[in-house]
This record gives sequence, C-alpha cells and structure tokens, in this order.
Amino acid sequence: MRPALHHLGDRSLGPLLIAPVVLVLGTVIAYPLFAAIALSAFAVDTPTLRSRFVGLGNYAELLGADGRFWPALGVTLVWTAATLALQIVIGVAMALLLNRDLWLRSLARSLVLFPYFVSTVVAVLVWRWLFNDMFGLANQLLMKIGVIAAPLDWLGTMPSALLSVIVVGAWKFFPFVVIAVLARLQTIPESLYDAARLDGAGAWSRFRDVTLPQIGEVLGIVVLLRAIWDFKEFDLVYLLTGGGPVDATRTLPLIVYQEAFGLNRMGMAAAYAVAMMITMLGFFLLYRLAVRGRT
Amino acid sequence: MAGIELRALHKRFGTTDVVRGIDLTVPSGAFLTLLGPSGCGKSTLLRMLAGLEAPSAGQILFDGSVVNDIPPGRRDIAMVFQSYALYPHMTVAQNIAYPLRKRGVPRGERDAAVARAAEVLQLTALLDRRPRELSGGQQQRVALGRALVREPRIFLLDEPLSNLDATLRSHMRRELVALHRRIGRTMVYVTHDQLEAMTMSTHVAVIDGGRLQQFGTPAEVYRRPANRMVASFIGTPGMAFADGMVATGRLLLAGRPLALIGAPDGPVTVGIRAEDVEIADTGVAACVTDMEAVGHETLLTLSGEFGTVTARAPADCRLAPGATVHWQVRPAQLHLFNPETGDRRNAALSPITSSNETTAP
Repeated sequence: MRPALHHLGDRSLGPLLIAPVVLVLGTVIAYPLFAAIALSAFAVDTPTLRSRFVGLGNYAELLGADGRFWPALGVTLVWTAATLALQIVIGVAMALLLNRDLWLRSLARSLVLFPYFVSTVVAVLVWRWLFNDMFGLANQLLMKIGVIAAPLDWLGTMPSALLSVIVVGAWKFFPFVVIAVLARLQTIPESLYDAARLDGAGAWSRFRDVTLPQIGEVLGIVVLLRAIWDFKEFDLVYLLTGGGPVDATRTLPLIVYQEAFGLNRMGMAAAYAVAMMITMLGFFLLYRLAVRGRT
Repeated sequence: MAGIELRALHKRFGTTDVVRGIDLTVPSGAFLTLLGPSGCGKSTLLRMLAGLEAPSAGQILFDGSVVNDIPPGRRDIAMVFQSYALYPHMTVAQNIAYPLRKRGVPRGERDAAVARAAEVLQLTALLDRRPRELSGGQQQRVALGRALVREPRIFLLDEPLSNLDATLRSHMRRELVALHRRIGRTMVYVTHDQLEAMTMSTHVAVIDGGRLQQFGTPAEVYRRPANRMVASFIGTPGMAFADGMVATGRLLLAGRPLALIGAPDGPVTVGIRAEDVEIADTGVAACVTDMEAVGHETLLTLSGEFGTVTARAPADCRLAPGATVHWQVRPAQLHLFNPETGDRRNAALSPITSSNETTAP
C-alpha cells in the first residue's frame, strides 16, 4: 500500500509535519504576546472594549505622569530578590538536611512539600491570622520572649508589611527549591565526599568544593524559574496586603490587575504587562551573560 | 613508609557482621592485596584503614600507633577509588593539586608537585582538561596522580583497574608494580581478581565471609592453600575436589588406592589442580565431557569414577568430547582438606610403586 503522503516531496512534507507545533505555539504564545503588545498601543475601556489608538502614549504616561511604575518596580525587585534569596537559602539547607540519614526521613520529605501544595488562599488566611495584630500568634510569641513590648500591626505598617510578604513567599515556595536540589543531591556519588575527606577537606570545604559545583546547574535553573514566577506573583501579595499599607507593597502585577479591572483601562494594563516583560527580559539577558561568564 | 597492623578488627552494619575479627601484620613497604569474592568484606576493611568507616571493635595501627580515632584527612594516606572519584568541575591540574591545597601548601610548591606527578604519569599534556574529556585509563592515572602528589605513607587502592579494558588493565598492572618499586611505599590493594593479586602483590590476604582465610606470599597462597575456600578461589581453572578416604596408610579415591599416606584413617577431601593432571597411557580412565579452547591451550573436563577434574592440554589437542582418556597425578601434588572444616591437612604422600602395590593409577 502506498502511504497517503507519498506523492508529497520533502519540500512540502517538512512544513506539513511541523505545522501542528507551529499552530499550537502560535495560538498559545505568539498570538497573546502580539495581542498584548498591540493592545498597549490603544486606550481601551474594559467594559465596552471601545478603543482609541494612542501609539506609545500609554508608555509615555507609564514612565512619566503616572508615577506608579518606578516605585512599583522597586517594590517588585525588592520582593523578588529577597524572597528568592530566602527560598534558595532555606531550600538548599533543607535539601541538605533531608539528604542525610534522618529518623523519619520519608515523612519529613513529604511534609516539607506541604506549603507548596496548599492553596494560596488558604495559606494566606492562615498567615493573616498568625500576623493578626489583636490575636495573632506572632505577636503573642514575640511578646512572650520579650522581642517586642506591644503588639505590632504586621501587615498594616512598613517595613513589617513587606517583610511579612517576603517571609510568607519564602515559606510558600521554598519546597520547589528543596525538590529540585534534593533530586540532584541524591545523584552525587558518595565517593566524591570520601575522596574529599581523604584529601583533607572539612565539612565546609566539602560543601563548597563538591556539593555546590554539583548542584550549581540545577540552582541556576531554579533561580531563573523562581525569579520569573516571583516577579509575576500576584495572588499571594494581593491577598496578604492588597498592595498596602497605601502602596508600600504594591508590585507591578497588582497595578496590571488594578488597571485592567479596577480602572477599566485595558490598554494601560497591557502597557504595564509589556513593561514587566521587557524588564524580565533585560534581567534574563544579564543572567545569561553572568552564567556564561562563569563557565 | 609504614607497617600496618590489625588487631581483632570487627565491623558490624546493623545486625550484619561484615568483618569478623581480623588480625594481620603487614610489613612496611609491602604491596598487600586484599583478595576475596564480592561481598567478603575486603572493601569495608579498606574503608576502615582509610578512616571512612569506624571499626565496631578492634584496633588499626600504622607504624605501631593506633589510628582508630584519627580522621581520614590526617592519617597520611591516599586512596584511589574504583570510580576514580575525580572532582568533575576541576581540571586535571586542579584535581591533582586539591589535596595539597587543602593542606595549605603554597602555590609554587603545589604547581611543582603537580608537574612532577603529571610527568611520572604522562599527564602533562592533559593538565587543562576536565575529567569528562578523558578516557578511562587517563582518569585512572589522574586518580593515581592525586594520590601520589602528597607522598602519603600508605596508598589504598579499591579495585582501581576494574573499569578498564583487558589490554589497559594489564598495562596498568605493570605500571602500578613499577610505581610501587620506585616509591617503595606500603600499598593496600583490594580486588576480586586473583590474577591481579598474584602478579602484583608481595603479600596476599584472602578474605571470605568477613574472616581472614590466609595471609602469605602469592606463591604460598597458591601452592599451600590454607583451606578449601582459598584453594577453590585461587587458580584458573579452579581446583577440582573429590571425596577420598584414608585406610591403612593408603589414600583411596572411589575405593581405589591413589597414594601412600602418613595419616590416620578417615574421610578426606582431595584437591587436584589442572596443571598437575597429566594425560597418560595408563592411570584413571575418564571421559572428556567438555573442551574449552582458550588460545594457547585447551582445558579438558574429565569425568570418571574419581569425579570431575580439569586438565590442561596443548592448543592443538586432537581429542573430541566423548573420547576416553587416562590421567595421572603425582601424589606430592595432591592437596588434602578436612571434609568437615575445609582446613588443609598436611600429610606425607608418596607414590604406590610395584614393590608395594600393583593397582596404582
């Protein structure tokens, strides 16, 4: 039997075979991207979708008269860098711990994933209770051990609001670092540690000279992914502080949401989203350069 | 250089005894091979020497002083691992220099030592490469270089040749022997390969079931195996065994007298090495049940009323499976073992001549 596509030459068959992939990628990645860029060139009223072409007007406003972009970018960068750093430190430390022969190790390995599994809404509700200024556990404990004299309004004042968001973010997302790093740790041959011990390396040297280089690649990917996700993080910040007090914890995604559904300015929201993307792209390129420079 | 002494060394993992009371004294400068089948405890023993495992009981002494509580990095030993355990992100030069760096040796001295080790091991051209860019044999040499560079008093080698192909293995065997001769340090070598043990060592310790079965020179271990385990483990093809009986000064096999013996009456296990079996016109009749041409010779499996033995025949041997042959063995070359304990039994054996018997094989 002759195959149905037999009469097609390689020239026609090739494009036909990659067509499904092109179609899917075009629909789910390229179209929304270009649509967002296009949308940012219009002033759009969200409920009626009536639009007026404004060119780079939205961007001019965003960078100038609007006045929210730069402070929000600052908050977003602080939040991303701080929560990411905490996630990495806690995640790597926890992975190292769980890689050892611990009592009840498998139970501990399952439990450590809990924050990652639990829904953000539920997690935030619990943390809001912990941080509650009237009957929160955080204040109770800190007062009992004498760190603070009077209850603190954790989420209502600065800098404790931003600090709280950063801590909750680290708690919520560090299990991702644990999973990735632990998986890599388990593949490091024990003989490398034995060799290092015989070569006279102490515990810190073994971590720096054996563990760290081995998990470096995985950490690179984890940092990249988590940086992107933290930069875009919306629900955790929105639910925990709503961007407040006033606008002290207002990150860029919160403005996108506010513009699109609060102020009904879909074009401006798109401009913010595109500006976020360009910022991330810039950091991504810097990161690639830094990583390439090291290897 | 350092001598090694083990006193009632014992290692238990959970409820399993891996090393069960080993006593051993190795002279300084020896090339000791720990030989035994997989899982016999030889690697655990080596790891205890290295300090990577703590003994459950007993003592390890280097040069007369107990080192049980000295951490691996301070025992002045170097180890070559079966997997080489090279640091993958470091270059060859950095790998070799690492133990010196950890000991705070200044840069200039370090570089000179690395250059010297690299020259000895012909690694000079590879110093800037990373382990993954090297062949197995080259990685092996880097691992040796890392051990050599700091001139330890004892070298520990854990099956370092097992990942190499046959040609390279025999080459590296000679290299290691030459290296041992040149630097004269004590080396402890773990292997399950008896050929490596026989060709490289000055001393062999045969270990099985966590116990020392025999300690001696390769020749002693081969010629006078201390028990049936050692006899069957050493030598290719393995020693053949048959159930014999001593009765009124004669060693009987399958009821037929084989030799005169100075031993009390009772059952005995008789061991016969392939090279001691001679194909002859007279003697024990046996059927050729299998033939293995190994190139320079042919190994014959002979089955008859005495049981099964292996014999060596020339490569151009014209026999075929199924043929009937006769074989003989000189009584002095027989090995005798206690059938219950497996321990060697020493007894004077002599041929039965026409003057005292007519049915000698």
